[in-house]
Amino acid sequence: MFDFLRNLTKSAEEKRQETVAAYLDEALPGTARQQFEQEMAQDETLRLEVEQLLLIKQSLRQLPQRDVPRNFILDPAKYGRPARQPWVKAYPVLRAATAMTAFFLIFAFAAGIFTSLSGSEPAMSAPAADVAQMESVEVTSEVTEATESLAFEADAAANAVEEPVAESAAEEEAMDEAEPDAFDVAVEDTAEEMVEEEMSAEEAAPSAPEATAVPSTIDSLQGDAAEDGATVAEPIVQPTPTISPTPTVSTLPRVTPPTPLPERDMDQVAGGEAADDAVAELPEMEGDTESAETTAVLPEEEVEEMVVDQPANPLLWLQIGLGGLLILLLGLTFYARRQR
Amino acid sequence: MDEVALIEQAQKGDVQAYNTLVLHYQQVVYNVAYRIMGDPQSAEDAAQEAFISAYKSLNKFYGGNFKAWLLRITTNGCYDELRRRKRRPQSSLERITDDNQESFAFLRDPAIGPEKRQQQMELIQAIEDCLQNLPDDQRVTAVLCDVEGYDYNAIADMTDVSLGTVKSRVSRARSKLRDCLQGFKELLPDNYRLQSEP
Repeated sequence: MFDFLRNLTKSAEEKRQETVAAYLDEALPGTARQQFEQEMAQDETLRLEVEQLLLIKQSLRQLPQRDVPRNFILDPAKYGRPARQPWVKAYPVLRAATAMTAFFLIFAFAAGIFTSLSGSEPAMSAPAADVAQMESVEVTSEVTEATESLAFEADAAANAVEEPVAESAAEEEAMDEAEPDAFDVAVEDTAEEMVEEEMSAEEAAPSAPEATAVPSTIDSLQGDAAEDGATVAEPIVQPTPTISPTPTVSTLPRVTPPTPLPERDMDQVAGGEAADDAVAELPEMEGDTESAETTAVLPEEEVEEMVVDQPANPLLWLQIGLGGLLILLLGLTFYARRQR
Repeated sequence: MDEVALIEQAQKGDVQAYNTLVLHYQQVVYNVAYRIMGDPQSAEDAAQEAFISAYKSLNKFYGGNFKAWLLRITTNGCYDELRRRKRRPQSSLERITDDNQESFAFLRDPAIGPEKRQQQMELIQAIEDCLQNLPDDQRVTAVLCDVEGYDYNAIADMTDVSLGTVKSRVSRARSKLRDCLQGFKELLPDNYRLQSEP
């Protein structure tokens, strides 16, 4: 590349020697060779120099070849390369597969991000709406149940003040159709006791207002009710088997009486103060609402199952699968590369 | 010998195929190494290293003149060894006790008398001595050009220098050899003596 610079720095003698050497090696082009031969024919010194150099060249060329002291063959045990394992031969394929998997994984992630940004809300709205609807149904059923029970108790208390004996008997007859026998016996005993006590109270103090007689009646009735508490408390714990998995607001409270009837009967007997007791009973109703909640948990679980049973996001499974495949291929590729 | 097929098999790891190539070229490689290194032991080591290095880098051979590629590896190895020697000079007993294993078969010609045979042996030794006195780069070029008979382009490719550098080294090497051989006029042919004494 920089031969022209070298030629610029060369002396005339060096250029002449190179020309002689090139002539001896037959490296001079045609015109330069003819020109050199003409020059050599005219210059005897140049001709002698060429002959001496040619003799040296021939002497070097005739140097005898030395015999090799030994063979330089390589030991196959030391330098032999073992046959490449089949899967090592597949290293390019592994590498290409790894690259493609990485590309598809990136594409899947990008698609996931795009989907979440644009169309994830409609996709998620359906299950969320179902859950919200179920929760609203649950809350509405609780409120309706509590309201109706309070109204039922208030009406029962008002009726008990006006017609305590007759109404209670009528209700007893009505309840006989729905309540178990043990419960009926307890109600009948209570009604008979109430009648007897009222009769005795009228006889003892006919001028006394009914309101003054009511507390004693309430106290006695409450004491009796406390005695019968063991038998009364049992219906509270029992779940309501008639609740449907998908309760409706209109049917759920009516089908299942949530509160035990004996307590209501006692309130009915207690008269006007029963309404206050019913209001004071609201915290106790929380226990009932809890029981209602336990009954409403079942549909919620089913809702969760419904949500789980719905087809999962295929893009997520694709990303997981591609990620696992990429890790596997990376391991194989690095191992194959080390074995090369 | 199908050289191309052997090279392909060797590239796939067939040592036996490569050994066939080794047996074919070991004479040339060893002699080039000997002319460059100057002693048999160093030449033997250099030749062995060249064959091992060539085998290890066989996948880098993409075709062409395998002999030239092999000699290029040999000269590079010799260059490295000569540089190493210059950093850590050491005398070799091999040269002193060299029993001269050269193939002097041509000297065993019965037509050549003992005196003539001795003269020729001395002339060969004189040329080798003068060759060893050359600078390394000029010696390598002279060996490849005058001893092995490669053209300038091949030498330039083997030694990784330009064509002009090869021409320059060849001319300088020959001039120095001519000057060196002036001290062995009695060993030179008559015509050389007559020409050198104008």
